[in-house]
Amino acid sequence: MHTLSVDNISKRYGRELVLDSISFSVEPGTVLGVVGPNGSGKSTLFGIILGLRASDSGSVQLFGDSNIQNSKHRIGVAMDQGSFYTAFSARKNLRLSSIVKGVTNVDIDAALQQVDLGHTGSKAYKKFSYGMKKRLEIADAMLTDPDLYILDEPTNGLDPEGIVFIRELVKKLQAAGKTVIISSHYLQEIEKICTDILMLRKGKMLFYGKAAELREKHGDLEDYFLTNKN
Amino acid sequence: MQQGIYSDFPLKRIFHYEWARLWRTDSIILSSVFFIIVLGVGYGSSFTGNESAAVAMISQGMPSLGRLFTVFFVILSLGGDYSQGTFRKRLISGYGRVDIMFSTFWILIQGVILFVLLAFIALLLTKFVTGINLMSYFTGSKIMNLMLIQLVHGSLAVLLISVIQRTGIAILIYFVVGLVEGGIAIYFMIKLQDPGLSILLPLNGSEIYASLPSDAPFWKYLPTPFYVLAFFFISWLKIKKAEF
Repeated sequence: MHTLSVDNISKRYGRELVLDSISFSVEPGTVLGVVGPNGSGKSTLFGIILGLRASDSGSVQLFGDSNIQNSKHRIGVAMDQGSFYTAFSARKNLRLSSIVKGVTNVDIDAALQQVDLGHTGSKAYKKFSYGMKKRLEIADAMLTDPDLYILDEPTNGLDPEGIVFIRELVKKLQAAGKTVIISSHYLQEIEKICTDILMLRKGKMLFYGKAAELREKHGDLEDYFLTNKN
Repeated sequence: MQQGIYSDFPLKRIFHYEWARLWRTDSIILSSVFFIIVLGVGYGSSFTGNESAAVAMISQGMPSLGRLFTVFFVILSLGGDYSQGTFRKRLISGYGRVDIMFSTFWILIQGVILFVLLAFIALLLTKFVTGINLMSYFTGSKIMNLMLIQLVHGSLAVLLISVIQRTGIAILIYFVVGLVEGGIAIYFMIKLQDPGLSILLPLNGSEIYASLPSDAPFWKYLPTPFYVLAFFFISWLKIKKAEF
């Protein structure tokens, strides 16, 4: 059974086709890198997979089930834009998140320590640095020890230390047999950590397959991306 | 639908969540401000010197305060959810769109109950300070009327914030609706010589509805519930289709 199957997804905003017949499937234990420039359709694709947006055509299956609602407890998501109560502390925000996930007995302090936010105490989320906000998103994604992680631009705007942290985290998740889908426009970063690549440009799928296959056939990921500009 | 420890009673998750996030800065400030205002109104009414005149004064002012509190409470709560992306987070983490709608409805109920509790405590305090018993305001019918008016205004607030998703603009439009309705009510009164027609209006109508005599014609009972249902139905359509 595939962890994720996307079949012929298309999406338009007005006259603009932002996703054009996208199909791919993700096996358990895969680290899939979704790459593409800003506006290539990465976030729209994630929104459709997560049920935040409706596609115009096609279907999505998570763990073999087309009702996404049934699989939400098996997914951990770290979105690019922070989605926490700005006046609440990291602890309170994670407590609220645990209620939504139906797992109120989780160790919030341990979750915060995992991402080095154990010291934040009652500090409000709005006073967090960008990197801290990203790490809180990661802690939230890991709260229920899900099978599938969806990380939307997790390294975006991070300092080198933060990027290394994400890289190490993805390696740990992969070693634990988790499936990770990670989007980024940092091609070199994606090449370092992903087993599979999905390349998008203007809503079209430029490449989908093993990262090694891409390297073998087309050389460097960046070169391939730049030579397929149009 | 998988909801972990809440699978036996999914609504409990919504109650638990909304209770946990009730204690935030904006709701505490709003509650404090209205508590002080009700306290002031209660204290001011005591200058009338007798209980029945004081209670009559309270009865005049309480619906206005109650509806304003509810509207601010609902719009601030839901506006925060839209602007901070917490609806999106909840949808990703396990809520369905029906849960978002139930949450929205529960926030309105919280606002209605919270104001009645604040008013109760404030008037109880006034009784101890002034010696005038304002607690006789809390009759079943008066509280039901107050809550009904809060519910109608609050459901309009739910509609406005669900459609507009911007706190400031939603509050502004609420007041504009009030002004427009006021104009129409004056037209009914002066031009048509029939102030009773105001029952056809969503907001003004709710106050007439709350005090309808038991022998009022049947049709007069219809507009206010219709508006409440319509406000919720349109909000639901909006939430169902919204892209978070």
